[in-house]
Amino acid sequence: MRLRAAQIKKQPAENMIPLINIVFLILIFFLVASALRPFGDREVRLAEMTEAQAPGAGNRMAVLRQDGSIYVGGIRIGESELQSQFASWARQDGNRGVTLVADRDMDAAALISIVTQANAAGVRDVKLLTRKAR
Amino acid sequence: MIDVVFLLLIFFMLASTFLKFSALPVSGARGGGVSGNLSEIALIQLRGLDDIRVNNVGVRLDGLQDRIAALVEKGVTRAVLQPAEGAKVQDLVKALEITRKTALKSVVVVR
Repeated sequence: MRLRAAQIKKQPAENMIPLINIVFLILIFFLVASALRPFGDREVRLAEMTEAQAPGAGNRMAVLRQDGSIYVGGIRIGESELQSQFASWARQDGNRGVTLVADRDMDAAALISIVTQANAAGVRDVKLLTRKAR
Repeated sequence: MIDVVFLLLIFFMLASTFLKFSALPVSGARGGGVSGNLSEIALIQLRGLDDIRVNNVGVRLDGLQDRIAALVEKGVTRAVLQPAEGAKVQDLVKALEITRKTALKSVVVVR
């Protein structure tokens, strides 16, 4: 009796090219249509303006949450440490601005207090980050 | 290859945004005496978007620009913006945005 040789069917190799094409397309879409977030804190909801101008890159940032907590470089600091940070930034380069990333529901008087502190420490250019209303 | 492209895609999806951002200059008051004529300065008190007082005259947000324009015609060149207790950052931004559309030379925020 002759045994039939076991036939091993070779699975055809999956064609990855269409997948790569689609992923590349999505990647290029994100590269072209979006911009990197200027700050990483997702707890902060920015105040809205009707106009938008490019905020400029490379500014130093302080994040002010609604509950009054302050973050610089992702690290929570107190008001006295923020004052020292402003003074340190002013010593390094007083002409370079500081951008405050404040929650829109934060008390306006508390924000102004921080702006005044920054000005007193020698930071001349203080800006508030806002976003364009939808 | 596809792994790297997937990683790049996930990075851009997480780190990017379609929002448009803007940076609004905010000037605080500096210590020292007042220079210039006091009649050139308008005081804008902000209690909320529907309760704004310009030189102690109540206006609504939509009338703020016209009120400031009328004062500019009378010789006002600068303004002091003072949010009252309870005013939020969003209210301050709205008021500052309107003052930037007027012919005022400077707007200073104070507590």
